[in-house]
Amino acid sequence: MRLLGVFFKISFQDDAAYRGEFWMRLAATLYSLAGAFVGIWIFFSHTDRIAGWTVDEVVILLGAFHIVAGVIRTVLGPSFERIVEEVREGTLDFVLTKPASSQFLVSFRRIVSAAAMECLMGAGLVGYGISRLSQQTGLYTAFAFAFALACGLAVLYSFWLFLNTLVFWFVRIDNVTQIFWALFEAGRYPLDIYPGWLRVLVTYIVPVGVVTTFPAQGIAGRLAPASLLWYAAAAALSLYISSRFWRFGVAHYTSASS
Amino acid sequence: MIAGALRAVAGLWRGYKALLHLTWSEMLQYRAAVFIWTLWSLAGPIIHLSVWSSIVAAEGALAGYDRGAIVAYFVVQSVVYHFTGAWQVWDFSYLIRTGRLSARLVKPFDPSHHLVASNVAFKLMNLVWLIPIWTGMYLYFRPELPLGVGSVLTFLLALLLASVLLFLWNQCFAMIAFWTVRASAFYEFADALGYMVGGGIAPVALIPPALQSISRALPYYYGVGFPIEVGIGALDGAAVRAGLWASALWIAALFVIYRLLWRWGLKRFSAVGA
Amino acid sequence: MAGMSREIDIRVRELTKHYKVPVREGGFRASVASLFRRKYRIVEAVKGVSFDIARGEIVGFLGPNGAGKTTTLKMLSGLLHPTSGEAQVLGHVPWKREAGFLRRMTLVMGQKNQLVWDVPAMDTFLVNQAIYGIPEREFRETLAEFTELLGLEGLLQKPVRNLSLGERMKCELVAALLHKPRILFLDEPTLGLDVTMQNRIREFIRVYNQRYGATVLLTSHYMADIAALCRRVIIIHHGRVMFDGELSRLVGSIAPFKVLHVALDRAVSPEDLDGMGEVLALDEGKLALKVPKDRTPEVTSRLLAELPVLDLSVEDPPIEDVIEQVFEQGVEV
Repeated sequence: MRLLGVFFKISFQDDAAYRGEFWMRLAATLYSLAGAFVGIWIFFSHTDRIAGWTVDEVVILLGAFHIVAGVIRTVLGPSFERIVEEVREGTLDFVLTKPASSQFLVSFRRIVSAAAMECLMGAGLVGYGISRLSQQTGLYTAFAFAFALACGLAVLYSFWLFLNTLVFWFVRIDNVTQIFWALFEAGRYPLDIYPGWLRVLVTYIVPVGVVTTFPAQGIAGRLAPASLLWYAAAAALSLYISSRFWRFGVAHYTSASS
Repeated sequence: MIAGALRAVAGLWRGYKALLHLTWSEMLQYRAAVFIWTLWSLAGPIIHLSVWSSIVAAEGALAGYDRGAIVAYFVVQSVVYHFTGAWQVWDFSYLIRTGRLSARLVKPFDPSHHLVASNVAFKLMNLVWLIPIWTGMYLYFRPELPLGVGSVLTFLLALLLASVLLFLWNQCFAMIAFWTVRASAFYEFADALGYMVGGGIAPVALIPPALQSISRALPYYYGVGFPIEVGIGALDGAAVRAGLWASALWIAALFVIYRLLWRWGLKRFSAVGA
Repeated sequence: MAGMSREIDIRVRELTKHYKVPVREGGFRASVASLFRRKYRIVEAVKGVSFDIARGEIVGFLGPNGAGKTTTLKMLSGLLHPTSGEAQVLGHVPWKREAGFLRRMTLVMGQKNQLVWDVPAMDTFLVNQAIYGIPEREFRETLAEFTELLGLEGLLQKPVRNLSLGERMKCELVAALLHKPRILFLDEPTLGLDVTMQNRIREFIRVYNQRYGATVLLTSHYMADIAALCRRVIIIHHGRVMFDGELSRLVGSIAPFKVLHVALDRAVSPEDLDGMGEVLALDEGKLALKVPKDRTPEVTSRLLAELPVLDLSVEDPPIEDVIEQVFEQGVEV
C-alpha cells in the first residue's frame, strides 16, 4: 500500500510538469462527458425507457462505465503497457528480481494521475443520476452499488492480468488490449439491449459488461443479496485463477529464459 | 502534350503499385493488430444497432425507421465506416516530427501520394476478413437491402464520394501539423461531433432538430449518413441526386482548401525547417 | 589547379538563412500568454556563404554543431528556402524543387531515414524504382553492383528493424543512390558506426564518385572520413565560411608543426629532451614530440646525436587536432 502511494506521488509530479497536458486532458474529459449526454439526449428524445432502464439509471450506468474506464486508464493500462516490450527485450528480469510481489509491481507500477479525472467525472455522473432517481437511495442500494463495482473491478483486473500473462507465450500481443476496449464499449449501455450471443460474450467470456450493468442495477434496487454473494464468489475465484496463472507464466518465463 | 500526360499517368501508376505493395507487406507484419483494429471498428455499429433496436421494439417505427430499417442502417454503416476511414492526421504529424517528410520531399513524387496509397492499401487488404464478417452479419441480421444493379451502383458511387470527401477532410486537418504537434486533437474534437450529428450514433432523421442544423454545416453527413441512407434505399431519386451533388461540392471545396493549406504549410516548413 | 577549369555543379553566392524562433518563457501564465503574443528572436544560422563546387569533386563540409552545415545542406537540396542569397545546383534553383533537379540529386541525413522499419529494405528500393522510373534492367544491375560494394548479400530480404545500425545505414545509402544521382548531399553518413562499417561506407562513396563522376558534399564528425575522401574542405563556423581550400594546405598553414615518433633503445628522462619541443608521450622507450615545422631538421639531428634512437618518423599532426584548433582559435586562413 505504501508502495502504491509512492507510485502515485511520482506520477503526480510527472504530470504536474506538463500542465498543458493536464488542461488538454481536462478538456477532452469534459468533451467526452458532453458527448455522452448528447447520446443519452438523442435516445431518450424518442422513448422514456431503454430495455426497461430509465434515463437516470442509464446516467448512473454511464457513471460506472467512466469510473471503471478511468481506473483502467490511470493504473492498469499504463502499468501493463510496458510488459510486452520488457519480455521481448528481457528487461522484465529487473521487475522479477525486486523484493516485492511481481504481480503487484506489473499491475500498479505506473500511474497516470491525470487520467483519474475520468473517475471523478464518473462519480459525478453517478451522483447526479442518484439525485434524480425517483425512489430513495437506501443504505442497501448504495452498498450494493459499491460492492458490485468493487467486485466488477476485481473481475476486470483479473481479466486484464490474464490477458497480459499470455505475453509469456505469445510475444507479439501488443494490441490484445484493443480487444478489451472494443468489447468494453458495450458496457456503456445496459446489457439487456444486446442480442443473446453478445450478452453471453460480455458477461461470461470477457466480463466487461457486468462491471457497469451490475452496479447500476444495484443502485436501482434491482440486485438481490443472493446475486451479490454470487458476484463476490466470482470475483474471488477470478482473482485466484489469474494470480495462479501469472505465477505459472513467470515460472515458465524464468525457466525458458535461463 | 498527350504523350507527356500519358507518361505522367504511367509514372503515377507505377508509384502507386509499388506503394500498395509496400503497405501490404508492412500490414502483413502486423496482421494481428490490423485484424483487431478492424474488429474494433465493428463495435460502434453493433452497439448502436442494439440500442436502437430495443428503442424501436418498444416505441414502434420512428421517422420511418422500423426495426428492419434500423438493422439495415447499422449493418450498412459498418461497411461505410470501413471505406470512409482516414487517419493521415496521425501519420502526417509523425512524418514531420521524425524528419521523414524531408526524405520524401527531396523525391520527384508528391508526398501525399504515399498517404493516399496507404489508405487504399489498408482498405483493400482488410476486405480479406471483412467480406466474411459482413457476409456473416448479413446472414445473422437479415437486413432488407435494395440489391438491384441500379441501387448498388448508386450506393457505390455515394460510397466512393464519401471516402474521397472524408479523406480530404482528414487531410485538411493533417496539414495543421505544419503549425502544431496537436493537429490530431483538433481532428478528434471535430470527429466526435461528427459522430453525433453525421449519422454515426443515430440516423440523422432521429436526432433532435438542433443537432440536425449543426449537421448541415459539417461534411460528416455526406461522409457517413448519406451513403448509408442511399445503401438502404431510404432516399428518393431527387434526394439522392441532391446528395451526390452536395458531396461533389464538398469534395471540390475541401480539395481547394487542402491544396492551399499544403502550399502554405510547405512554405512555412521551408522557412523554419523541421 | 586543374580541377578549377571543370564545369561548376554547385554555385553558392551569399547564401543566408535566418530563423525566427519563438522565445519560450517558463511558467504556465507565460505559456498561455505566448499563445496570443509570441516573442521571437532571430537566429542567424547561415550568414552569406559563398562557394563553387566543380563536377566530380568530393568536398568535406566541416564545422562544430550548430555551425550551419545542415541548414546549408537543406537549402541546397531544396528543403529550406533561404532568407537571401543565391544557389544553383546543376543549373536549378534548389528550392523551386523542380522534378528535373530532384531526379538528379540525393540527400542522406544520418538516421532520419527513408527505409520503412517493418519491411525488408528491398520493398523500399522497389518504391524508389517506381518513383524515379528506373528501368528494370538498370535497377537490377545497379542493385547488384551496390550490394557487392557494400557487402549486403542476404540482408535485403530481412525486415529493416532486424538490421544493425551499420547495415541500416548501408541500405539507406542504396535507397538514396539507386537512381544514380549526379549530386550527393551526405549529412553524417557514418555517424555512430564502428570503424569497419565506416571504412566500408567511405570506400563506397569513393567508388561511386569515381565510377559515376558524381559531385559530393559531405559532412562528418569523423575526420578519418574527411581525410580519406576529401581533397578539399570548406570549414564553416557561426554561419560563415572560415576556410575553403585543399586539406593539405589547411594542415600546413594551421598546424605549423610536425609530430616526431621515436623508438629508443633505453628509457630516457624528460630532462634529456629539454628544449626540443612539447612532449606528447613518453613511455617505455617510445617518444612522441610536437615540434615547430621550421625546427624539425634541427631537433631531428639533435635526437639522433644525443639519444639512442632505433627508429624515427616525422608525421603531420592528426587532422582532428588541426580542425579543433581552427574552431578553438578561429584562425582566418
